[in-house]
This record gives sequence, C-alpha cells and structure tokens, in this order.
Amino acid sequence: MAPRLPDGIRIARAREVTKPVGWARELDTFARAFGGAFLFGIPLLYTQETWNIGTYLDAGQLMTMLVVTFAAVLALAHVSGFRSDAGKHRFASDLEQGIEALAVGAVGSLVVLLALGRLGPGDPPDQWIRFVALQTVPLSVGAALGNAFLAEGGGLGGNDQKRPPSAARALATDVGATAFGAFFLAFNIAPTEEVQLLASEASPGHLVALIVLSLVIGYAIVFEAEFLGIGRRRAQTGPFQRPIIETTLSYCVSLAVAAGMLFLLGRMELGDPIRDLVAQTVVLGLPATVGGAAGRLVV
Amino acid sequence: MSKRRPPARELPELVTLILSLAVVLVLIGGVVYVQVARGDQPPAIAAEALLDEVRVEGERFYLPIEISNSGDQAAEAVRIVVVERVGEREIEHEILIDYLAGHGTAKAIAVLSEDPRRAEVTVEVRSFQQR
Repeated sequence: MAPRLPDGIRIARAREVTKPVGWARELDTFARAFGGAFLFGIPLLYTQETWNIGTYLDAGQLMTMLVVTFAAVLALAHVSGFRSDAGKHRFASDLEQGIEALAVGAVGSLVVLLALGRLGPGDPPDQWIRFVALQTVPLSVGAALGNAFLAEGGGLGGNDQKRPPSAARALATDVGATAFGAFFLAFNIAPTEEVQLLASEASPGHLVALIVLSLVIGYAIVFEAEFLGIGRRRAQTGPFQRPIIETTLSYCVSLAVAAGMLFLLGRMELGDPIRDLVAQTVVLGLPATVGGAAGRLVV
Repeated sequence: MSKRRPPARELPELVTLILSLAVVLVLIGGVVYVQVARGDQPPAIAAEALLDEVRVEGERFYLPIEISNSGDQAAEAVRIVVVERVGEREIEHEILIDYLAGHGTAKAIAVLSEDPRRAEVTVEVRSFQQR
C-alpha cells in the first residue's frame, strides 16, 4: 500500500518509479558501477606518476595487484556492491560482482585513457595492458562501492521522501550542487601539471571524445544508475528538469567551474591561445562533470 | 523446512557476467603476455636528428630530435646534447627527457642559430638513469 502524503503536499506530475527489469535493470546496474568507478578512480587516471608506474611494473607485480584488488573487491561486494537485487550477499553473487567490478574497472580505464590520449594505436601492446591493469585497481574498487557511495536508501542516505521543490528552486539547487561537486572533485586535479600536459597533447578528436564521454557519464550517474534521489529527481518539474537539458546545463556549469578554477590557480590566462583555453577546460571538465553529477545527487 | 533456492538468473544478467568474465580473462591473459613477451634488456638509448623536418621561425632553426629506447627496461632523466658548431665555437643544447619507456620513443626540438642542414650538428646521448 502506498504511503499517504500529509495534507497539502502534492507531487506535481510525479511519475511512479518502478523498478526496471531485464536489460533496463542491467543498464542501471552497470551505470551505477561505472559511476562509482569514475567517482573513486578519476583522480588517479589524471596522475602522471601512475602512467609512468604502469610502464615499468613487471607482470608479477601487476598480477599481484589484480589478485589483491579482486580480494578487496569481493569483500566490498559483500558489504556494498553495485547490484540492488535480493540475491546479493550470497557468496556466488559476491563472486559475480567481483568479476564484473574488475571488468568495469578495465573497460572504464581503457575508455578514459583512450579519450585522454594516454593510449593510442602507436603504443606497444604491453603498454596497453600495463596501463589498463594498473588503472583497473582504483576503478574496480569504486565500482564495488557503487551502492555505498550513492545507492538509493543506502550509504550517504536516501532523501527521496522530501517534497519535490519548485522548478526555480530545483534549478538553483541543481546549479549550486553541480558547482559544489565539480569544485570538490576538480580541485584535486586542477593544480597539477597533468591538465596542461593532457591538454597540450590532445587532438581535436580527443577533445570531442572527452566532451561526449563527460556528457554520457554525467547523464548515466544522475539518470541511469538508480542512485539515491532518483525518485525525487524524476518527480521534479520545470524546463530544466528534463534529463538531456539538465545534463547539458550541468556540463556547462562544470566547464565554467573548471575554467574558473584554472584561471584562479594561474594555470590559464586570458591572453593564452583560445585552443589552450578550450583544451584545458575540456580536459578538467571530465572530473568536474563526475563531481558535479555526484553533487546533484547528494544535495 | 525446505531450503530456499536462489532465483534463476535472467538472460541479461548472464550475458553481462559472461562479457565481464571475458574482459577479466583478456586482462589476465594480457598480463601473462607481458611476462612472456617482455625481455629484461636494460635501456639502450639512441637519438637521431630529423633533418628533413627542420622548421624555420624568424632567425631560429627548430630541429626535431627523435629519442628511442630499444631496451626492455625504462630509462629516466635521459640527457641528450645537441652540439652545434658555429665557426670555431661549439654551442651545446641540452635536452632532458624525464621518462622513456622500454621500446618507447620521444620527440624533442632543439632550437639552433644556424641551419643544421648546412652547419655541423651532432646529437649525443650523455646519460640516463636506470631503474
């Protein structure tokens, strides 16, 4: 039986939030896993030292890291995981989630390393394996923590029972939360040299790939992953509360935060070539978007 | 009391599990490949001036230098010196490469006052650190 709302509280055009099934549920599940992976692992994807370490670790070290990571991911899958099905916390389910979390880490790191131009067709095969294997570690851990980070009703706390705010208030909250989240995550990366290095080496194709990846990740975290607040978010009304518009608007806010931070830290100046300004902003825009998406869900 | 059986796995769940397993196996296979394919040769650094790619900017000549490591192990702090002979004088231009992976290449630019296609220019690898 549905809970009764107190008198005077009305949810305008609220859609009934039904649990997805089949492929839709798998899409939500893996969006949650990738969301957790990027939230946890993206600062390390932007760290030069981890790129370098990846080139000289021997196979024994890489294998040991993967085995230790798998053990950790199994334990995390038991206490958190990223699936929301009733069968979780059985050993078989934990084992499956552990394997899937490793795969999410590997695929996620491969996609971001390609988009950042850290891997390309000219690189030897062993470099591809080293880079991906090393970056799989933090991303897998993040994937296995998907529920603990932001799951509905878990981790940081679900606040779906709150009354949906007005359109204007929802917009202001979204912009503020995006800016806060973008600032929080991007500030870990903005002062480092990696942003300038990646931007200077990025081709127009890489920049386009980063823009597309940022938009897809931002959309997936907020609207596909069934993280906390999804019911409230879907109940919100107003011109900016449509997924595509909100994702695009939030990306623009994240880019503005990224650019502002780079100017404030002296990493960019107004006289710099426009290509550099755009490239640095787009490069930092990816972590800013991930942080901004998380910020919108938490606030 | 009958023991509750776990719910049957749906097809999408099965497909994603199989795909995930395939990705993990490729990753593990890749690491095994790294072990099998990789030798243990120490770094061997070579530097070559790419005279065909010289660029002229104002009164300066930009000479690309390709630095390659044919060894299996990575090298750090690779120091390259480009020696430009102008009349009786020798001018040294130093290039420092922070990191060069095994079988990796890097490109650097030496900025010269004379046209390297006419003047005498030599490129030398002076030093590097081995892990």
